[in-house]
Amino acid sequence: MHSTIHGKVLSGRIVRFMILLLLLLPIILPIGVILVLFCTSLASGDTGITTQLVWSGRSGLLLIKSTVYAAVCALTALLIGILYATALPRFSRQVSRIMIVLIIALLPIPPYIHALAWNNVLSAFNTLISGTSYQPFALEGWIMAWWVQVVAFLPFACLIGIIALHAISRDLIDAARVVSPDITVLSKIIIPISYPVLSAGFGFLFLLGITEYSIPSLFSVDTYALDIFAAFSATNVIAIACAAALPLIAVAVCVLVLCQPGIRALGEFPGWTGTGSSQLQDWPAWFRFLQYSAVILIVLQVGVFIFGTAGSIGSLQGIGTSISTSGREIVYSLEIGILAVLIGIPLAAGIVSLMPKGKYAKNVFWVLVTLSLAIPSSLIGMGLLTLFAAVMIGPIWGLLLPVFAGIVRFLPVAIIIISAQVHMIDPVLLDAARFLGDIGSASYRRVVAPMIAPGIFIAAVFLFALTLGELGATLLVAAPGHQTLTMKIYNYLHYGSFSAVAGLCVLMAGITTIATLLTMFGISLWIKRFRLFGSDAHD
Amino acid sequence: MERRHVLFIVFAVVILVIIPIIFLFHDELGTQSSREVVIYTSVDQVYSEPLFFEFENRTGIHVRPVYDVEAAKTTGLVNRLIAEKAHPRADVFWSGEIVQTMLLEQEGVLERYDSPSAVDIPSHYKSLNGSWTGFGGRGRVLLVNTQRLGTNPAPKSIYDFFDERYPADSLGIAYPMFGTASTHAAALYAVLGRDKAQAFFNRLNDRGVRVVDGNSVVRDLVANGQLTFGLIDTDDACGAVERGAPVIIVIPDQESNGLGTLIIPNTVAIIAGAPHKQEAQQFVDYLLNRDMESELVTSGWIQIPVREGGRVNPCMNSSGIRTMNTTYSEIFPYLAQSQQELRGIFIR
Repeated sequence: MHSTIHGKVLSGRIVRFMILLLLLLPIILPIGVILVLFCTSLASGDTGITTQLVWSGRSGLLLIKSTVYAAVCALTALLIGILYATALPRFSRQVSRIMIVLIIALLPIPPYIHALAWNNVLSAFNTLISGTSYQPFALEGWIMAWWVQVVAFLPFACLIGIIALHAISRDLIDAARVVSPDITVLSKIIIPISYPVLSAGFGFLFLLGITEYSIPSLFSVDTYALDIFAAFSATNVIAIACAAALPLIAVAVCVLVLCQPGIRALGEFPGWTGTGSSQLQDWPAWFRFLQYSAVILIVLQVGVFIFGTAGSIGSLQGIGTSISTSGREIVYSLEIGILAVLIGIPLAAGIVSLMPKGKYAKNVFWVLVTLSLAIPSSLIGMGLLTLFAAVMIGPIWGLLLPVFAGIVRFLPVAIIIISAQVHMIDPVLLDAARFLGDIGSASYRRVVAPMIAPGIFIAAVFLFALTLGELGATLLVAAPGHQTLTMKIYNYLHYGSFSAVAGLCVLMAGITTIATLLTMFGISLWIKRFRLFGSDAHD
Repeated sequence: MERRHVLFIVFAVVILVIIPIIFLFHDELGTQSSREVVIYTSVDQVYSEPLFFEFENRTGIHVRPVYDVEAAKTTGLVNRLIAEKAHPRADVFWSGEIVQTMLLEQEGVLERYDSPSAVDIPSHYKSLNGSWTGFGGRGRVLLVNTQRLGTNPAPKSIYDFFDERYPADSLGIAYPMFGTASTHAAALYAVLGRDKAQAFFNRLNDRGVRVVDGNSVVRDLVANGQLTFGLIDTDDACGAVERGAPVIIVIPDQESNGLGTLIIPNTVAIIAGAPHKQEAQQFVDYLLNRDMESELVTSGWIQIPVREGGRVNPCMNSSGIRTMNTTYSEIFPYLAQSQQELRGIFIR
């Protein structure tokens, strides 16, 4: 009897593991192909790879500089994001919502466009002060690259801040406020409790920073990611690019492992539908100054984006023309984004529901899942091409492969968000739902689905926006005769048509804003329909 | 599941998925047997797209282009073609430069084709085994901001990057490991020899000349006055002139014993095993036509026709240009070596 039960449990675990592996295939397969190509070349004794694997002082120094740069940028952006999140309750509900939509609209804009906008605005400012005694801004070097990278991260950082800080239970805050001033509640209660989200957010921003080269290179700053591209360009061999990328991947994995406690602890996170921190209003003057600075910075970022691209060098006619002639690109991009969400979100939800329970298994799981964030996008594209080159003839593949490119690169983000949301569900409610019926039953849907809805919707917005802005992998797998808006933006950038670039960027921001508004509308409808949360959970 | 929920899901799938797919792929889904040609090109869309439209109107052959972007740092279409070698999707590769095409030839991605339209193109613009044909060239030039130049004379040579009259941080080049800048670097290796070329780039780096992400960035920095001058391609330079920036174009090293400048031709080739070979040949014939070279000069994509007596671009005087004393087959072997070594010099 005992052995039968044990056998059933074991076979159940094996089935769960097999299904989990199956769901993870879209991430594992392209990475696996790259790994196989690398190992095959290494085993064959390819001198190019062995040379690449030899550690040089230049590479080491470059990697250290890139790591510090990415960490400092991620940390700065996150601090500003936290300040922005704490400042939101100072404004009316409508203004707060506008401020959230504003940062979401900036999500899919390629970082390079932000860099170009800042470069143009500061250059115009330098021209303005050229006759005065003021020193012009030095438009190169680490400080400039750091600044622009930070402001390019701000949309992500602010959302992370909002998710982290607006999740704390009101009761907890109320209790703490009885004995301590708000600033102490923030530093001693809210930040430590929000650590899981902040830690995961830092890891995400760090990975974005360390794999990015376009912003630093505009300001004459070299990074390790650029070195990988140089190795790839010089040889056109995937295995050599892979060998060049190995140290960067190792650093990224180390950071991910360091962030693991935070990512894993998302399970114990009280949830982000609370609004406890919104009660905190009694800040010291210096903190209010920092809060307002963060808000001004976001407004400034939007202003720089508008004036740096459209206002200063574009023309309304050019913007209009670029939008009106991009019908196919709009539909293609939308279709890729929508399909990435339709395929990616159920996949992420399934993966989360089958997540391993053991500590070590969890560690391996998270490293495996988040690894694709650390691999250069062109390598992911090459992995997909190698996998599907034989079968990808036909229009449907030309649509599906860019969708997979988005999913492979950004599914980890969706998994992290959904796992946090799923684990915050009150176990008592979950047991009640199980008692009422199985997954798929009306009662289960009425209890569980509304509770994970906010996480699902937020993950969908992230996945949609990030897929919309993807370039490196999409370029390699897009269907002949079709291109995404991001591909078109970069094509126009080379020609120097800034008004067209501005028009397309405005279009991308518009699409994401509409998607976000629809998402918010969907969330409110869903929650109103089921009315399962307390009144404070609806905000 | 209730019936209205099923209906809602079906409705949502139709609206979100099916209708857009039909909109995007209606021609591919409905006319499988129609004639088409898939063209991979690194030429800017603004220049190549009108030509594709014209070709479609003339021949009825539908063109499906795939465009490259500068930001991909030449890891884009060339790698895609290599990866698709066993199962090619592309019919034609039209490149804005030459060495990447030579790389594809070396990788066995290209197929021999002697276009009748290319009979008047000089032989040194053609592959020895007929895999590709060069036409309409772009040159490497100095773009100079006249306002920023002040009272200093305009530079005349790439060696003026070392002239102390021009502050190092006001001069710029694109990373010489990517794109046409890498072809130019390989050409310097071929002409000067490895040691002298390496010394040249070491000196550039030691002096602190700005090295940025692509020719278009150098162009923009010069055009908006952040740089005094920079080394770029003629199409970028002419673009800045046409947009009214306070700039002039200088063709470097034109004195009688000078180094000369590098002319980089466009190249076109048919992919081995191309699914639409006949259509590909028709397109190559169309593109290599003498009139088409003139049309590309007029559009601003190329400035230096390879044929005798070709149309000249009004943006710059390209007649009688002194070119670097080397051939493309001499340049190509230095490409990988120069890229690797320059990576060590410039990325630190």
